[in-house]
Amino acid sequence: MMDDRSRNISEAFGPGADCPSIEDLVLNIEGLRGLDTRRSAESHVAQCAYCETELAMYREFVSPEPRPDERPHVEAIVHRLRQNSPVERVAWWQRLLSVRILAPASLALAAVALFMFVSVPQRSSLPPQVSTVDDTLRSGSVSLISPVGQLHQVPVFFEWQPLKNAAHYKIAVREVDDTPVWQGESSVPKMPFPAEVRNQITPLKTLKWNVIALDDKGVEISTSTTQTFRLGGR
Amino acid sequence: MEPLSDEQLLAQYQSDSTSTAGVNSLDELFGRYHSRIATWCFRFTGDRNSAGDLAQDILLRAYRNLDSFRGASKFSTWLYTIARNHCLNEAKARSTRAHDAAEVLDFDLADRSTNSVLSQLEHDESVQAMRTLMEESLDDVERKVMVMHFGEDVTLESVSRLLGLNNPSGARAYVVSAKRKLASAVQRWNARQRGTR
Repeated sequence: MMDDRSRNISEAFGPGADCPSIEDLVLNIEGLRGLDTRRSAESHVAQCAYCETELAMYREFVSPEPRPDERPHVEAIVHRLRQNSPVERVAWWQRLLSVRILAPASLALAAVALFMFVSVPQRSSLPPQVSTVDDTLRSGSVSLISPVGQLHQVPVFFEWQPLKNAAHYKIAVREVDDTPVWQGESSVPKMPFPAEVRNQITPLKTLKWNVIALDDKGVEISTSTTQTFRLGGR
Repeated sequence: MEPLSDEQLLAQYQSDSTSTAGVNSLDELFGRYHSRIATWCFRFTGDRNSAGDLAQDILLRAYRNLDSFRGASKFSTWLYTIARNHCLNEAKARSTRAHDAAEVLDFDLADRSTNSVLSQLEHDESVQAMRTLMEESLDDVERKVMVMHFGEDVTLESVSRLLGLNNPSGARAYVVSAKRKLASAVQRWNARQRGTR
């Protein structure tokens, strides 16, 4: 194991405070942000072993040709990737509805259905019960309220819809590649933004979060969908 | 006709992800990277089966996170970040072995004779000085090996494959030579520091 001294020195081989992300580095070095930025990036890379290596690794990644001894392995992996694409196919009926010529027919069908719905007498004349957001207890899944999408300032709270039978909630914040940033628990559907997450919020960096609802025995009863948010941007 | 860029293909998919054209665009985009991701993962693991698992995970993560790609960077760097982080995290999770002697950095710039505790400022200066010594003393491959292994935690076997090092002991030989050069550069640096006090 490395001791503290070695760990400190190993920092010298990691990124410095002025090292840009690989996304920015590539945009800068390829001149997509102007000539001055490109020169400045080239000068940084010339004296920064970390960025020099990052750039070399990225260039290896985008280089399309495997080496001769790697080729049979790479071909086998590619074959497997083609057979197991994560891209969801569109169902035939979805494609049918998306065909332009059938769109008017779909609309007409929808209009007939709506007409029938409003014409048929309702079974009960009682007005529907409408509750406010604050007292809604959902029995389905946890629904996230905020933060979501583009933000103009650092949020104050995480907030989600309360769920029936939920005794407490687990909140998890992750980076886009699922690297954990922070986890917390709350007995109410709202909790202040922790400093650990606040420190991770930099402009244009996307973070993901979701909530798991648990009952009083600690058994998971529902998981929200994952929402993303980031500060600034378009 | 000029082929569509990665970003244009993704925009086509994002504008209508339920249409056949949209899905075909995404298929083409991912297809462009199959070989690159496969190569990258194979270099990381050195094993076809686990590389295949990693590659599938990476594409799945990318697919699930497409909404988070807003076009502020190139698609290739966005995907590279996912691939690199996923491979590094997997490698760390699987690594149970202790570092061997070649992997321990047993030199630093602190003058132990004074028994002083490094302040943060001294520490930062040491790190900066080490960066300078590394630039001055090491050759191109040695720098890359040291950064990948000690800065990024990539195993020496993976470093050898990623950099295509064909010498018998691969990256290990470069660590040994880099350590020797750095140790003597550090000695000279410490002597200079003592001389100026």
